[in-house]
Amino acid sequence: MPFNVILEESIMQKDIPATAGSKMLESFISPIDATVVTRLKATDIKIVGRYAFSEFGISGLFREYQEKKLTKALENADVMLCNDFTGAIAKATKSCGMFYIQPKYGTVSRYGLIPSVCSLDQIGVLCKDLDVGQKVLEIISGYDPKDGIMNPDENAQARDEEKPPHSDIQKQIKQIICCAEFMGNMSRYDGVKYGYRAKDYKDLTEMYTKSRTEAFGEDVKLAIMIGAMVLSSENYDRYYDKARKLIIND
Amino acid sequence: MMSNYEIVMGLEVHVELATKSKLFCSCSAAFGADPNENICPACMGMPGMPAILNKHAVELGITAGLVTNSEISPVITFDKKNYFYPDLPTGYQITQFFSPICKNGWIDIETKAENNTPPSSTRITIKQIHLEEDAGKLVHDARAETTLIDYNRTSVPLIEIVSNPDFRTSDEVTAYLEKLRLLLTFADISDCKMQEGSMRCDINISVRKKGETKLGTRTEIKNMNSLKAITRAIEYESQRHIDALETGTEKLIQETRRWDDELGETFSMREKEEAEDYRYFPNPEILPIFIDSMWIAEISGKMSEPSHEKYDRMVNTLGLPEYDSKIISSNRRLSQIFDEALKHFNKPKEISNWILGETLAISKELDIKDDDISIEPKKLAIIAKLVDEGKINRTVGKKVLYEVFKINADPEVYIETNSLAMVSDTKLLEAVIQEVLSENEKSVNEYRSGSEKVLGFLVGQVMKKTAGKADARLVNKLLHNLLIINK
Repeated sequence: MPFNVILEESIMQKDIPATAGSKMLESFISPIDATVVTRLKATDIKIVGRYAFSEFGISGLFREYQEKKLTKALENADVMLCNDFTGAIAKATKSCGMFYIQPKYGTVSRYGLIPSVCSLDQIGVLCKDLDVGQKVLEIISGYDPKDGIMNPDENAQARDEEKPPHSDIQKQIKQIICCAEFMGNMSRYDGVKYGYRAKDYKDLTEMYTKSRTEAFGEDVKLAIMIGAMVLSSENYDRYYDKARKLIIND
Repeated sequence: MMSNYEIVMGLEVHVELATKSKLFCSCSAAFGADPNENICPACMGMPGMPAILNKHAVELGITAGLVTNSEISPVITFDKKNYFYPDLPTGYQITQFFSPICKNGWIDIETKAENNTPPSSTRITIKQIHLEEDAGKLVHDARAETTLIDYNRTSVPLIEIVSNPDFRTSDEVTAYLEKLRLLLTFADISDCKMQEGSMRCDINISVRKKGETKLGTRTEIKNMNSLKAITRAIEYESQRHIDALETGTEKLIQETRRWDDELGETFSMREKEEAEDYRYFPNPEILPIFIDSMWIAEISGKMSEPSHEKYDRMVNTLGLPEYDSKIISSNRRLSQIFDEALKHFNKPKEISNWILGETLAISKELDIKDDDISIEPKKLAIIAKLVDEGKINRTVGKKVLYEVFKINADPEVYIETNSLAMVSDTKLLEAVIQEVLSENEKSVNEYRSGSEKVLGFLVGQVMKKTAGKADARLVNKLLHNLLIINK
């Protein structure tokens, strides 16, 4: 299987920067190999590069990806592993003759995947040839004790007709849930331990504010603001809780 | 003035669980390691590290529910509590906001009523117990004007035990904390060492006129870690509230306060309080955990003997005095030493004497806390047995035990190497006694003219000459005989 695979910037490779397409993580060198990377490395598949559709993949929540983004991603590779939690990648494949295989939630390990929206995060396969994509999916899927939501008894890897949970809910509900979870996952980037830290600051609060203002892009900031709003104590019941109940009843 | 008012308090007690590893990663949760020794990418807050829940922590949470008569939730989930602080590497604390592991518990405490009336029992009700992760520790380096972070404590599992506002006096508060400590240490849930921070508490306090049913303005005193400080803080804070109400010089506001033990005052921590909204939401990374009655029964079946049952067994089955039983059954470590030593030398009163007498004396001398006595109980049993069988005398026994404390000596080897076996050869001892008598004629005469107390001195002289190895009982007897015979 001499396939070439490209990884989304959110999939961590040991000793290589894992930026998730963000200035925030430009200096962050991954200490580990993601489980999918370890599994690829055990075969003769070659990892030929890294690519980001948008910062932490969040732009897909607000707008569609253009076809050329996908063409560019697979310029030098047969397959790309990426986390299509917004559904924007799958949507863009329709117009350019590519395929996105979305595995059933929890069947591909997320160990070493930089999280965006935990309840939707899932590594899938973007490919030009479905059979090739399916072969790669077989290699990367299967139980991993390092991912707490995986079930040892579940090995069913699904085809593209399987949809992630909540994929058919209305756009607004999806935005509420995604932004809320996304906000939580962005909190770790505070300039204290790793990643970007602003040059000049007079105290801790300013270090936080400046580092995050300077390193996050507009879409990330927008998602964080929406998330902070829908989770605030005055809005929780009106937005987040209501959205969640609609999903559960869905 | 005080007597017109009633103090109303509720407690939030944080207890670090005695698990080997942390709540969401496999790092050691042990106390006392070098800074940042027990850390990994996950508890450092790096991305790409899914949380893996520690099953043992959940089991200890269930155990905490059992010892506090609580309802145990059939399904538990975890939530994210969001706030920025450098000791919180992920920017959120994983806790249980929406569905705590235990609810509606209670424990009975005993407090001495005023005017030496007999102790009375009060029931304290527990609102809930929830599982959560601890944060790291900031170390301020004043000289370098910088702050360092130690992440060893990050993600160490905790339970928070939240009581209802059932406390009226500081005695009730300390009795409750002591009772919790007994229940939790004997069930191996936590070592509850306040001085190491594995048990700490927040006190919610308000005052109101007696007879009033509405609660007054409440303040919260954070992070108290000694019973003495707690008592002082309650006295100070309740008086501050009463003064504010009586004199009107200060307006009480609902706020968080910090106790300064040196100054003996509480201070407002208002800056931190400002517009705090934790934006709790369910953590989708951790699947719901189902707790069925079989799991609870299994945990319940494995629980070790609680303190009060141990006390009953010591008094009723082993026939020990109430005094001995009370002291030993009130401390987890002393109980462990007692039970373990008894397996090797089945004379309860002897073992009890060696614990309450020599062991506690030596640990006091070496400034070791009861919880931290690390001697092997088997060695204590061997020493007790050798003394009981007359192979060594008690003084030598104590010396050997001291060496067990100091260098973890093997009692039998130590006795052999230092030839400490008891001298009970009558002929040999008689010779030594004769020597002592001829050297101390004055004392001999005093004895003979009726002063019995010099006998102790003469025995001491014999012991000295035999390097403490003589059989003291035999020396007494021989000495007595010789003094009378030669009279």
